[in-house]
Amino acid sequence: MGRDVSESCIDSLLTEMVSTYCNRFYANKPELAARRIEAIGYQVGHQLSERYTMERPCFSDHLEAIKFICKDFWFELFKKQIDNLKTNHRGTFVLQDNRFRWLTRMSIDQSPENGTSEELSIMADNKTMQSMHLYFPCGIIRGALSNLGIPCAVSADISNLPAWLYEEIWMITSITPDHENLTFSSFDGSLVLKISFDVFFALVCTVIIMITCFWKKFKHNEQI
Amino acid sequence: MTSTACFIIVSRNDIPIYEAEVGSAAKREDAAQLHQFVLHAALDIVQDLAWTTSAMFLKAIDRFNDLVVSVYVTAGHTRFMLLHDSRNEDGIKSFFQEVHELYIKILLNPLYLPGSRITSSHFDTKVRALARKYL
Repeated sequence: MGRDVSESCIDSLLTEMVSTYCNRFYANKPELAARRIEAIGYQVGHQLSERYTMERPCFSDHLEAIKFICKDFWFELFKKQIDNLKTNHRGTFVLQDNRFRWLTRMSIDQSPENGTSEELSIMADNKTMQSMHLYFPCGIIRGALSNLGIPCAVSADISNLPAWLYEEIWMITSITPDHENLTFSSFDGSLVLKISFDVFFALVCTVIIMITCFWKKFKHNEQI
Repeated sequence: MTSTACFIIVSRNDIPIYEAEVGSAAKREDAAQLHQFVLHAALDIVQDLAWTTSAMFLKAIDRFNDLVVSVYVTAGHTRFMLLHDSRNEDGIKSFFQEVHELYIKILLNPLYLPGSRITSSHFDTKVRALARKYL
């Protein structure tokens, strides 16, 4: 089941999606755009994980599920496996992809090293745009893991475009309400983005967004 | 050959999202609720058994009189449960696998909310056709 899609189509679709949500739908609200993109990724991850686990037996523990994400799932999506997996054995996993396929064709605005405040803000804008493109894969991973029974939060970080992509997954083992926060903080000029969502809030968000946007289509489907 | 069979799909939150009487016997009024009751009662057993094995197809897990409950668990913990009186295990396994494919197609519909009832009549027709073929 499943057919191959041309890579340039995927690239164009993703670029267009990020640019539409950031510039048209939520023009001055990057947090809402980010949340929306992540929610889309969540649903896609949910569906993809269901499809790719069809042939294989169920997973006995969390590590098995993470290894499935690193190997088979990543291979189906990007035709390669995750390059490095680290864990602290307390629920945090770091997945490292040295050549993330969806970002290989992104260009960077080269700015000179002597930073005036103007150029620093250009650099900050660059990082923001690059981070926006990471919300979708984060959502995919979160959706896939949630479907396999592991509620988690995923965040991504680029240290060297297009070389590295870190993704950290925190397992939420106790169901405590966690205030979702979206912080842009810069240490040494590099931008680190951390997104943590409360699992149930994210689910409710997805449902609400889906219902409001597809309400008419939904009604039409019911009448058929 | 008449056979009774009741097929239910239960989501991971223990909410039935699809049910159908797929046996070739005539549907009896008193037995209708009985079948559903037996299947729901077997959910606890499925819960325990699902964690002990990594296979998807759990064979006959419960009996009631001469009816047997067979269960198939997907990776997303959606359970396909079949109450039947036949002994054709291979047929039942193939039936479950084909329904799994149909279920994945339903899931891929972006307008389908995972965990909600499956209302597609197309799905219904196909499941009944598969039941006639394999059971």
